[in-house]
Amino acid sequence: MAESIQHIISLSSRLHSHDFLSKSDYDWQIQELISILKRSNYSLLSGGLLTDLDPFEHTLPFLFALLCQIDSVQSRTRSALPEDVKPGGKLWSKTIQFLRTLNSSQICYVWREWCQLVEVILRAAENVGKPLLAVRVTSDAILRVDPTASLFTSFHPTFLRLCLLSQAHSYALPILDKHISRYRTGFELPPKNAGGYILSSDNYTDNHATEATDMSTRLTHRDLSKYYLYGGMIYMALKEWDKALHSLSIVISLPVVNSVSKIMVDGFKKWVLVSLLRHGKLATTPKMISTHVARAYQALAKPYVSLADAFEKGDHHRLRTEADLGKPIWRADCNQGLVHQIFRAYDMFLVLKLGSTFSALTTGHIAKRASSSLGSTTSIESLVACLVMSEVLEAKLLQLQRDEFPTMLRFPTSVRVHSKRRDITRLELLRKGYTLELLARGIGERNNEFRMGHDNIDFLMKCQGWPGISGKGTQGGFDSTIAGVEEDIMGDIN
Amino acid sequence: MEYLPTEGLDMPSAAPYLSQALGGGTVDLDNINGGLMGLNVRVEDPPKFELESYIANYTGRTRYNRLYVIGTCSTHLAVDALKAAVAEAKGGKDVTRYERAVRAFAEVVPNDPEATLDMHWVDHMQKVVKAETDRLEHELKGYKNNLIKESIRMGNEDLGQHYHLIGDLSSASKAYSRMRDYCTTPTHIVSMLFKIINVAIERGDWLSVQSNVHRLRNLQSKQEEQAKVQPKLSAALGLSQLHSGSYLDAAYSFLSTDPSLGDSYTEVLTSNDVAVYGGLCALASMNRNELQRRVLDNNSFRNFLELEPQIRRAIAFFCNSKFRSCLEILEAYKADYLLDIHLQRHVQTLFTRIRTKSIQQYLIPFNRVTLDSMSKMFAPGTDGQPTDLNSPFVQELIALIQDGTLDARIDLEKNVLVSKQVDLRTEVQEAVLDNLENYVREAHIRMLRSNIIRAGLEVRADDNTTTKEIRGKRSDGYGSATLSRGPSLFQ
Repeated sequence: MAESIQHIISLSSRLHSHDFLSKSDYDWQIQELISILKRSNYSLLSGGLLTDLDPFEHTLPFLFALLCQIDSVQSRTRSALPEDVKPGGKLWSKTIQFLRTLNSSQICYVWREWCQLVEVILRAAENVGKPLLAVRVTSDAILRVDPTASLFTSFHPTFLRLCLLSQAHSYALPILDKHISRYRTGFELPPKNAGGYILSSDNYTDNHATEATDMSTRLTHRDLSKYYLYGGMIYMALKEWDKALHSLSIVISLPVVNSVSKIMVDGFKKWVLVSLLRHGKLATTPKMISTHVARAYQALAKPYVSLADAFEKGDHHRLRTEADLGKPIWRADCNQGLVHQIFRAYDMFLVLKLGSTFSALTTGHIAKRASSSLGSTTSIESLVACLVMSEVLEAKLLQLQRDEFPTMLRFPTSVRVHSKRRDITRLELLRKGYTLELLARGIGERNNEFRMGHDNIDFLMKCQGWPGISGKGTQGGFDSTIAGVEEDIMGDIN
Repeated sequence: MEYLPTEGLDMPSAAPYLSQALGGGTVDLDNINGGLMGLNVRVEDPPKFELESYIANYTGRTRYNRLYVIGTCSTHLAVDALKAAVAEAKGGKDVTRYERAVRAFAEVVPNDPEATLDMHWVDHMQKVVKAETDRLEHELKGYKNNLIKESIRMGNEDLGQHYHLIGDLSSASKAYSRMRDYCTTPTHIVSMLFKIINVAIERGDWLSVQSNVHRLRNLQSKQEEQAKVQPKLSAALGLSQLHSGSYLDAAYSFLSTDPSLGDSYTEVLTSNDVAVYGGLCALASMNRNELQRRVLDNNSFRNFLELEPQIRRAIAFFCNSKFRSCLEILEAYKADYLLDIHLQRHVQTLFTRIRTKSIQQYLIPFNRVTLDSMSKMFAPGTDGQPTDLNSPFVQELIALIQDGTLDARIDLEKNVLVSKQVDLRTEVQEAVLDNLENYVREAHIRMLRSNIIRAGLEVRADDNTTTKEIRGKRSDGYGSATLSRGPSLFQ
């Protein structure tokens, strides 16, 4: 037994000095180590020996031993989260130590175990009601292991939930933002196997093909939709409405086979409110939502849709009644906060909209149209001042000399092109250009994976075109392809 | 009035469908119409025309229809018009319209001796009508047995005419349609189609009017024949286009009506009507250049315009940018137009369009205009502060700006209307950025979607067993789903 521990340690330390090894040797050795670890005796690993080592030098043995110990504690105490695992326990501190110092290049060979460990930590922290303890350390570790954050794993939704619970929203951003700003790696799902683990970076793919199939059974659509819903909620908390809207758009446009999930409906409700807050009207739903899904949304989220309707029509009395009537619903759906913000957004968009109709008007005029919370001219004044200062609105407030006249709000006569604006535009264009480039590359890759190249499509057309001639029903659709095929044949003959 | 008045232009084609759907129930339709008509429009102002000379211009069933509309809508002419309508109905064979006229008359003058139903006449007429119908149908059957085409055609024609006279319009148009197979000469076809068109106009079946007009147009016939039917055709087509709300097309149709129309189509409309309908439609839908070129300089239409000089003056004023005079003339004749059977439903829309166009035209040369001068032009006679935010004129302007008709903004400090200046470069740049943003988002969602489908993670109701198992374990306090399979791993 002692021998095998020695063996493991020596193998692992050889790996540590892998500078001298070629890539294939390194791969081979690491696979050998993993197979030894997997074969090793249960009691060998659950002994405390291996976890006394340095986690950076002996990442793999440490990880396996840690998991094994957690498992043995669990089976001994017959509870899912024994005291040792919870914050303050022995295993907790070991795990934290591991997460802080692990060697990321080795972790990517043992995804399954890695995910297990992270999930245990996250759950333990959530269980004792101290989510913040786990959030920061896991966020760092996740990023170290997978700097592109391109891999979707089962702990992603849990991690985001913890961020929400601990209100440590900014810790989630490095991971959330990656998906959205980097499109090439932004696909959390794998090209290769039905599993769910992707590794679009070249050096990962080979190593993980086998690993991923093993894990595939555990990911469900629920994890995926939860992840994006939580993502949307984190952005909402940070008032990044654009990103929140995008996240929620993903949730509501997830592909469905036969039914809509409740998470998607929840997402739609939030999406309605967020699009009101962001654009002052209902944004157009993503085009890929099929009609029966859209109908289900409309039916299930009726109060929200009619609230949005009142908002769009600029009818603040109706908006107020809708909001009051729906109070139990907002509370049940946990959307009270968003609905509360609707009124401020209503006033803001009202003022912005007035800018296209008037070039100058008194605050008294605005007060007549604004929602009841802004009855007085002074509160309008402060709202406008706030909007102007936050650069949402380009306008000036003029206080007339005599007191009996209300303050005049003057919108700029024309859209001024100052250099600042031009710079912003240029920067934005550059950034978008870069994103487009990434996107194009992503599409190219996708085409390759789906075998969407011209040659292949031509070939498929040929294959399907011939039976299409004799087949019923398909004839109309295939006319052009048949013609194309015939032409090709003629070309070949010539 | 046999067609259903639809409110405004929301559903211009609803009337034909409705009347078709209701098919033979003409009596019901009449009742519905009668009720709605009375509610819809009330004209308090006295019209400029004289009832007797006005109605003398028309012949046929349209006389009664027009009298009834005037009687139910105008407060001034109600008594005279309804009295005339009762007399008119009694002169014909249509019992239902007599009953309707008497009912309406009784509402206005309950004590008049003519306000009670002449039951004797009604019974007598019903019997006569019944006998006549039976006779004609019997005759037609006989003709059919003899298989003589011409007799069958004439039999159908007689029957159609009879149905038309007694007010059973759907049967009438059916009978006329049955003539088609038995027509042998082009003249027969022309007369048949005209009969169908006339019935369709009375029914308010504008789709059928249009299709039959096109059928007539495509008929191969001699030049002089064509010239003879053209004016009626254009007028009928214009009428159907007016009712379906395509005012520009209607204007073109009326403008192309040949002045030889004269008194030849009085069972539907007169030349005066063509001038009014054509003039108003043109005013509402054409710009100043077109008006000058196609209406005022149009030699053949000038003949019509001479009959209604006020329309010509209004158009001339509009072309010379004297919008106020133009609008004043139209306003003065509004009562007349509201009492017209065909124009009634469209007066409001036409007037609003003309007014909006005037405001638009008025603003073109200005960079900024004071609200005072505008309200003098378009809202004369408003007391107090015409430029206050709550005045109807300013509200109208706001509505126009908000729906994008006017490209201007209101300055309530200096009381001026300022035309908008746009910076095209920034606008284009912003539009490009927006498009890019949308494109990138959509592409992201789409690519994500393709990956999800590829991984088999679509949302589905019947989850596979593994998922259920895991969920079950999770629900009991986050069971060790992850590690429960641990031992097997290490063995």
